[in-house]
Amino acid sequence: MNPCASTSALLKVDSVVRRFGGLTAVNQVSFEVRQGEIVGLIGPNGAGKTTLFNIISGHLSANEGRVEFDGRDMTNRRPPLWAKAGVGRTFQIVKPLKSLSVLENAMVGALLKNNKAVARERAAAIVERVGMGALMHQPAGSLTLESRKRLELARALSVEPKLLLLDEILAGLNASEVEESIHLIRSLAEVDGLAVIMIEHNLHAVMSLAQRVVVLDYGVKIAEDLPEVVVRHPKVVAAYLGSDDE
Amino acid sequence: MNDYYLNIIVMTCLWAALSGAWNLMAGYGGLVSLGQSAFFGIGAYATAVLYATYGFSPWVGLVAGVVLTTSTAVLISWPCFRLRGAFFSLATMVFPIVTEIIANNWTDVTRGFTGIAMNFKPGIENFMFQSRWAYVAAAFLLMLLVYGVTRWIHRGRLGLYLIAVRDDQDAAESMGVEPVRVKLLITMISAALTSLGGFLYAQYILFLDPPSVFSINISVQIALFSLIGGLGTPLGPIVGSLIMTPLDGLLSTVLGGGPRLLIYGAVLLGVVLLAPQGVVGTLQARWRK
Repeated sequence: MNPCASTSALLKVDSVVRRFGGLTAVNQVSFEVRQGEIVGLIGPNGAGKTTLFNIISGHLSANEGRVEFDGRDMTNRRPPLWAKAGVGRTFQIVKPLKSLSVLENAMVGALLKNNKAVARERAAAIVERVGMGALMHQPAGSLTLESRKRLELARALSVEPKLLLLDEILAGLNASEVEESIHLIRSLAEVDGLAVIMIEHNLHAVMSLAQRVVVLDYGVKIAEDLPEVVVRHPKVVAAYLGSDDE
Repeated sequence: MNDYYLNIIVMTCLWAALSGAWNLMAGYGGLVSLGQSAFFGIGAYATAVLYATYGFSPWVGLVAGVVLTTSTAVLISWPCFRLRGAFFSLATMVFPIVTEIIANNWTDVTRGFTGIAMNFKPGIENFMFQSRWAYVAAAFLLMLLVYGVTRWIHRGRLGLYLIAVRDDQDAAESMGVEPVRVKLLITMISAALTSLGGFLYAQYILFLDPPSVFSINISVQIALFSLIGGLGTPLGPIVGSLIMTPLDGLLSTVLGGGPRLLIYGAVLLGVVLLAPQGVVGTLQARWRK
């Protein structure tokens, strides 16, 4: 499989820089994602992965560079506009809307493009799809962490996205839950044609899902390739395990 | 039924409506405004000034009051949306203080602290009536209007958006919700309804002075009734007013100022301790079990 297939990119990140005071959290990062493609985003803690997500969903602005989505310049647009354009995201630190039910959580996003009756139907279908059907009418504040992670995914899907940003949604799940989630993410890409970028420490999941992996270290993109190539890349090995000259 | 009881009914409905308008902001959007008496006072003064000083029909005053209150609400609340929680409440507390000072000093228009009286000329064109039953009907309709608006918002699009923004603004934004837009919208609705309450009050009492409508105590009382009845429920403010307004009337005739406040405080303390979600909220929680 050629990772550089010729369809035009859905997301183009071009030389993006983000500084926090003297720290450059994201430094000249560029990459592209096409429709239906699953891209892994890996790197050690503090490498700038979540910062990059926050820039690709409007929660943080970039100091330099340009982000294009679906043919439009979306650099530094606010989060609601990213959602409308078709980007759904999860938060690493889960953010359930505690006083709403699971269904209502998903309805908030579904209302973006639908009236209430349709939104309710769509939201219910999404809740079923992420495996939370039995919890449909539970208040989100009463959910376990595992269910809250699923709720993040349901909420991200509720805006009917073209691009899904998944920030460590597998962390804390047991082996069979991870398998279920892998299956779901694959079907979202293959059946629904969604593009997916996943930040993930679970390398097994990244290896089995991603067609391409982008590696960040200290805010810099140090590698981008097929998963099996990336994990043997000397810079990647050095970033994760340390190198001889350090 | 004598006027004493009819008066209590009018006031119960009026307070339920005012508290219900506050409940829209606080109970759904988490915008705990202590500025409602500014909206109430502007609505009341708009009709009184236009009628008594300039000779306009109160119907003109009604429309002018709603327009003036709503636009003032937008101007003053917008900057406050940057503040969250208690800081928002503290900032909104300034509005009644400022409007009361303006009303006290802009004597050409408001006649200052001596107050402004409206000539009683009964008739629908002046929204003034011989029978107190007419005011009972008007206050009841206003209460019903606020209840209807709340029901419509409750778990509809606007209600869900408001609760989403209140629970987690980042999560709400990531689903396409525009926080400032929904906060402004609910503030405008709340201000407009509160202004209608001010209009009704002016037309009913026919005399205003600045502390009687702008006082911060009114803002606090508006909030208390919803807290007692049940925050974030359509029925809460009505239940709160049904309990507190008659009690208040009874206590002030029987006991007068000091002891009245004591019992008032005891009831509030009791609700906070025994039914922190308010009467309606607590009953609903029990019902679900």
